[in-house]
Amino acid sequence: MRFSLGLARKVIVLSCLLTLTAKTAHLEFQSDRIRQENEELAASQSLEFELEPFAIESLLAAVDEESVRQIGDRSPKSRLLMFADGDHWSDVNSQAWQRLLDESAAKTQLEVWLVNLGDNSFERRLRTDHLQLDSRFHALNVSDAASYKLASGLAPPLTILLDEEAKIEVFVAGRLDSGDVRAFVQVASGLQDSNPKRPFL
Amino acid sequence: MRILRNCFRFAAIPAGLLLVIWSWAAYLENAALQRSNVQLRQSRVYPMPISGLKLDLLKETQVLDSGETLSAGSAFKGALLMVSNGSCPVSAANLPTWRRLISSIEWEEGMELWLLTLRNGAHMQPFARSLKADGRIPFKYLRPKRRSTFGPRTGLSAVPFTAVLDSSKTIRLVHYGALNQEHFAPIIGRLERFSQSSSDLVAAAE
Repeated sequence: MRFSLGLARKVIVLSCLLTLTAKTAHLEFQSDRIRQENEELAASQSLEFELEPFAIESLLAAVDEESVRQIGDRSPKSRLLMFADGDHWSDVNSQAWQRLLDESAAKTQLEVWLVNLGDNSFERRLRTDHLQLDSRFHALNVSDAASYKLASGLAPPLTILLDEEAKIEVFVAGRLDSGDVRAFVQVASGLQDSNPKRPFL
Repeated sequence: MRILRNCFRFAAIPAGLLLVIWSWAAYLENAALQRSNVQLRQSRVYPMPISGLKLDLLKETQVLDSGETLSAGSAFKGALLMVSNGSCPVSAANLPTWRRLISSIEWEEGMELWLLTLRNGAHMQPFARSLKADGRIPFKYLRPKRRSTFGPRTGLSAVPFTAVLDSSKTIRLVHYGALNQEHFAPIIGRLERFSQSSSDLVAAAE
C-alpha cells in the first residue's frame, strides 16, 4: 500500500512536470511567432506610400455646374472633404461631421467641401440644424455618382484633409469617432500655422 | 546507490522550481507580447486603395499559379485585379460576374489578370485552374506572403475588390463589393485605353 502510494505520487508529479514543460515550450514557440509579427507590424507602420495628389480636377469635372459656380475660387489650399451619400453609415457619421465642422470653423480657416454622392440628405439636415455654415462651406453634387466612385475609388462615408498641394494629410474611411475629429482639427491647425501669411478666402 | 538517489532528490527540487519560474516567465512574456500585438493591430494605418495609389502587389505576394504571362521583351501595360476570400459568400457569388467580365475583355500582349486570395483559395483556386486549362488569358494567381502585414502594406482587406492598375502599377479604377454588368464598360474602356496609349508611345518612338 505504502509502495503504490509513493509510485502514484511520483507519477502525478512527473506528469505535472511534463505538462508544465510542454505548456511552457508551447508558450515560448507562440511568443517567438508573436514577436516576429510585432516586428513586422511595427515596420509596416513606418511605410511610405506612393499616392498621387488628390484629383481635384476630376472631382470638379464630375460635379454639376451650379456646385462649381458656388465654389468660386479653386486655387490650391488646405481643404476638408466629406463624402456622403444617403446610406446608413453617412447618417451615422453626421453627428461627428457636425462636430468636425464646428471645431474646424472655430480653430482653423479650413475650406470645407461636402461632396454629395447620390443623395444630399445630410446636406439638407445640416442646413436645417447647423447655423455655423459660412462662406467656407461648399456642397458639391456629383451628377453621376456611380461612375465617379468607380473612377476614384472613394466610397462614402469618407473624410479627407488635403494640404495646399492637394496631398492627403489625414483620411478616415467609415465612421469617425471623437479621436478622429480631434486628429483632423489638430492636423488642420498645423497646416494653417505652417503658412500663416497666406490669406484665406 | 543511496548517494545517487539523494543527489537526484536534491537536484529534482531546484529543477522543479526552475521549471515553475521558467513557465511563469514565459507566461508573463507571452501576455505582454499579446498585449502589444493587439495595440499594434489597433493602431495599424491602412493606405486607401483609391485611384492614384501605387500598389506593388508582386512584392507582397507569392505567385501560386500563372498562365500565359508576358513574353520576353514585351512591356507590362496594366492589370485587372480581383481580390477574394475563400470564406466570403459575396466573393463566391461574384465569381460568375468576374468570369463574364474576363471573357468580355480582349486580352492584348502586356495586359494581365491578377487573382488574389486573402485567406483560403476555396473558389479562386478552381477559377485559376480553369483559366490555366483554357490557356488564353494571361493571369497570375496570388496569395499574401504575410497575412498580418499585408493589409497595412497594401490597403487590401475588404473583399470582393476589383481594380484596374496601369503600367506603373498605380490604381486607376476601383470597385468594392459585388460587381454587376453596368461596371463592365468603364473597366473594359480603361483597359483598352492602356493598350492604346502604349501603342501610341511605340508609334511615337518609331
